[in-house]
Amino acid sequence: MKRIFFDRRLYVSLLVVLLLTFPFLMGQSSYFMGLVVTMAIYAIAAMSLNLLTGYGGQVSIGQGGFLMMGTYSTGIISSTLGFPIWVALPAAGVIAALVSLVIGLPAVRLKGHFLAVATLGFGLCIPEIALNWKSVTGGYSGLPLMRPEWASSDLAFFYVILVLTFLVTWMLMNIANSRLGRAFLAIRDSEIAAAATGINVAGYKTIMFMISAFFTGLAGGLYAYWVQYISPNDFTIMASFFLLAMIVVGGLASIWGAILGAVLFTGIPHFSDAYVGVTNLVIGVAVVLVILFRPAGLVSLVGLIKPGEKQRSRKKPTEELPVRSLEEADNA
Amino acid sequence: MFLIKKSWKRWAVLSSLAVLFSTSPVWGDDGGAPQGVTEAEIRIGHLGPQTGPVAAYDKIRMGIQAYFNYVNERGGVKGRKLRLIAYDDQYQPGRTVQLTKRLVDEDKVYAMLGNVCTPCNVATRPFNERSGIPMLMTSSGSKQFVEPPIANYMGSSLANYEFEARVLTDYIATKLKAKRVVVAYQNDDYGSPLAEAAKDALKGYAEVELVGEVNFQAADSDLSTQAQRIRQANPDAILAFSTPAPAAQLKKALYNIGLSEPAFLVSSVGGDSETMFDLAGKEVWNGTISSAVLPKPDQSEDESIKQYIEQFAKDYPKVALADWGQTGWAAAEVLVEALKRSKTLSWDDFLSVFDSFDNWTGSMYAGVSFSEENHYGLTSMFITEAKDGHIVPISQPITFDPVTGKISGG
Amino acid sequence: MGQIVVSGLIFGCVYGLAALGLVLIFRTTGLVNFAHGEMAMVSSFVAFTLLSSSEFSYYGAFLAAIAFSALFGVVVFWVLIRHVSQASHLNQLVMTLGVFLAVHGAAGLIWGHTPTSFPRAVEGKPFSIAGVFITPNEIFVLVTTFILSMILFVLFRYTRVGLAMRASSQDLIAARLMGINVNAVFLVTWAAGSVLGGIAGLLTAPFTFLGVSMMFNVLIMAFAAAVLAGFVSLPGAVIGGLMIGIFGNLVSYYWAPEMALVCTFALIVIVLYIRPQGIFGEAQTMKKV
Repeated sequence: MKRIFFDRRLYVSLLVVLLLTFPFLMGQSSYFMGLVVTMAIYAIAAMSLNLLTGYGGQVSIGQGGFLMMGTYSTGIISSTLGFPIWVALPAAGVIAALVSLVIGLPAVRLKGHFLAVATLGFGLCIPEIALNWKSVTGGYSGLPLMRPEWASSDLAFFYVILVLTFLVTWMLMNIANSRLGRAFLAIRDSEIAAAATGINVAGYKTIMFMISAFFTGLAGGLYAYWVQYISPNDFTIMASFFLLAMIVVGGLASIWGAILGAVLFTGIPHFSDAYVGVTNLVIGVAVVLVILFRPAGLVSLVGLIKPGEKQRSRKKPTEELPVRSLEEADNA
Repeated sequence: MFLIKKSWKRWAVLSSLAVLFSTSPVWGDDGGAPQGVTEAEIRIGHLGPQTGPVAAYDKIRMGIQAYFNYVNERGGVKGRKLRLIAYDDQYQPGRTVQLTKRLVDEDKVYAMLGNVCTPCNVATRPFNERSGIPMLMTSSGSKQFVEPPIANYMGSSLANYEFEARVLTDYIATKLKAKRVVVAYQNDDYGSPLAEAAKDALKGYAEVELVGEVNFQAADSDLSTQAQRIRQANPDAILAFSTPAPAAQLKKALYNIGLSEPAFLVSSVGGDSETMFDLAGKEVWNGTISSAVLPKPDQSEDESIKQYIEQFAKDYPKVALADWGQTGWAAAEVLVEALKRSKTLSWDDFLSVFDSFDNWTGSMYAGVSFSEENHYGLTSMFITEAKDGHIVPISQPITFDPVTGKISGG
Repeated sequence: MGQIVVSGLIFGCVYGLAALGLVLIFRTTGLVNFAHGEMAMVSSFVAFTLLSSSEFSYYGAFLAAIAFSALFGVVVFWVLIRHVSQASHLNQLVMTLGVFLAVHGAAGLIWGHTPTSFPRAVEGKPFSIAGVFITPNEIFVLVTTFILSMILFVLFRYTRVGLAMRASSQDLIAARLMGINVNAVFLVTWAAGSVLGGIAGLLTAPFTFLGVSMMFNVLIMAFAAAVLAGFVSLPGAVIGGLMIGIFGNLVSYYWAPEMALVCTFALIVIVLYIRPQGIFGEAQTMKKV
């Protein structure tokens, strides 16, 4: 156990060092910093979704909506109302969390595919509202946003985002391994059993939604500050699709899985953009292949490199609907 | 030992990751030459949606590429080949910002040509103003990129929205003598500013009344409720600002509820193409009035149109000739002419030669003019009417003077 | 008012047909197919390609495209879905998302992104009945939807294949024990579901124009309809589609077109809050603890 622990720490510190020195390795290229920033922002969003879906078993196809909520909240609070960044960012998270109650409350009653479609609706409606609520959002012309003086250079803000990403990752890891995380897993595996052991299922589900929305909103706020422009065209429903695919391809119920997924999905366009119109095809094929050959996600590849270590997987989420496994049928 | 053995695998993963990133194209400048110009080539950047619901604009890229191929087959410009580097921004400003950095900082393009999408261009403007990269023939008719003039923004490949709105409203009021007008617009960065400009312009005509307003989305496929609302308003002219598909949907929906009486006018983007007959149906589209900046492929004796038809059909045999391909081609013509006129190709010199364009007619456009106060480039358009499967010009060129704001001709 | 309802009905039919395919596949195999719309889009393009080669009449192309839909469904099931039938529903869902992206991307590369017109099944000018205008093609859409749902209902209810489908959807183990070849049943289901989607695509194309993004909105609305149908009720899917078509149009006319989507989903959330199993769904008892 100790060896593995050491191993993981080494791995993490290498990654941290690489990221911290990254701008200088790349000659302070704004583009490459932007690439890492995009990965970081999607990683935060994917980790939050993984908490909800991977740990809690609640499928959401509307997380892009929370990202957009985050961008607009930040823009309105900072640009329109003139609050500083350290107010705007947390506020973006809080607003997203409060809005998630709208989805979270019915979600307490909804199961499986019903929840999926309800959240899908949310992801579709947020851009629509942003486009049409012109007095607040600026409609199609969007909102410009200025970074604070001390973080006006891309380099400075890169480090802001990096540090916050580390922080959020650490927090989410702790949540996942806490009482809260174990309660989520219990709810995912069986709501009835969870309730029987004294877990307040409805309450925990609501908390799950709020935590996930909070961090996703925060990620959206960071994105808004990075791009310094907010529009209803960013984070369309496709962003929600991609986030869901990220956590499944990366690995459900795994913080590292979410990060891997985010890196993969934001990394692919960097290489495929040079060829006209192939990005969706490449991503689609990658998703299909991973699910066919690594159903537990890319994170399960770690198990291949380290045959000694059993994957700390927490078995697949159980279906909300009656199980119809062919295997079972055969064995019967 | 174990620790070392295992950790080198991590190192391998991380370092290969680093190699992957660093293998992206990064070119150095060769001493003194401006960014993006080498002995062999001149690199030009372009951003627009290549996939997604508005990917029809990708034809602008094809048009540019076709003209670059045409020029390269004839020896290039100043002995250099033109190379187009284009990325898919999916009409998302966040991506455009990121890809602009890629084009300017990593690919080191010399200039950007015909970038699509108004909000995307708004988002990238601060960065572009700082870098000073020449932004040519931006594919947006929004005034903010040309008025007041920005040093490195030269021209737009679409007619200016306010100019176009004024031309169409003037036609309604003075030629059609309509009294009751409905404005129908696509609720986005294209249709909304045009509709606002048109509503402003209509206030200038005491005898014309705005009796209704409907909007729709670019992806809407059912415009029957909009048609119904228009019927309620009982107009004698309908002014639509829209991209092709919804324009055709709207006209069809109006036709289907028996409303073919009122005059139907569409902005150039949505009406100035023969594919409209195909989309809406020949009988349905007949009689539609539109504004236009480029002559139609089938009706012009213009030399550059002939070249366009030949080259575009060769390079993109499966893509229809009309509309956006022409836009890209015409924008590229302006770029190449400016490259030819520039002596040193330094950005300063290159941007200054634009002032020598005084109603230049060497391109597909009716005339291209730039001056210190005028960065519009494209200041003339004409009115067309849909007749029996053709879009026929029915007016002389109408010209807009950005300095005085006056419109003349027609 | 009449006009608004009628045009809502027409689009409702298309949503209903697409939802019918979704529900059929879900009921029997337990999978929500995100690629449903894109597969239908490909079928429409196949019909279009056949039509432009001009050796096919409209109905010839129509039938060929339907045959293609069935084949496409079978291939997708056999090559991809079959292998994840034991995986979690989330994996299955993301698998179909992957297919959605791949098919969408490939179609964009093959057919480009410029919308083109697609011929109507029945040509003819609009005429007016009691002040409501309708085109012969719209009547064709209504009639087709009605007939198809009737056929499906009868098949599902009274034939051996339908019985096998229902058996498999109720209890896989028992179905196996009764000698039902479950894979074959799934195969037939996928073929039938894809055909329904394909027909929805062929009916949609004249309205929306043929393009690679044409089925996205239809798919979204079909999901909404499927939810109202509780994801299990076949007649519910069609009725749900019609309800959503009409409701969206009413909102669009009496309030604002941009509110149609928002209100539709708000309606769904409210409906689900009151009846978590959908209007037409049966309350589900939890089988597994």
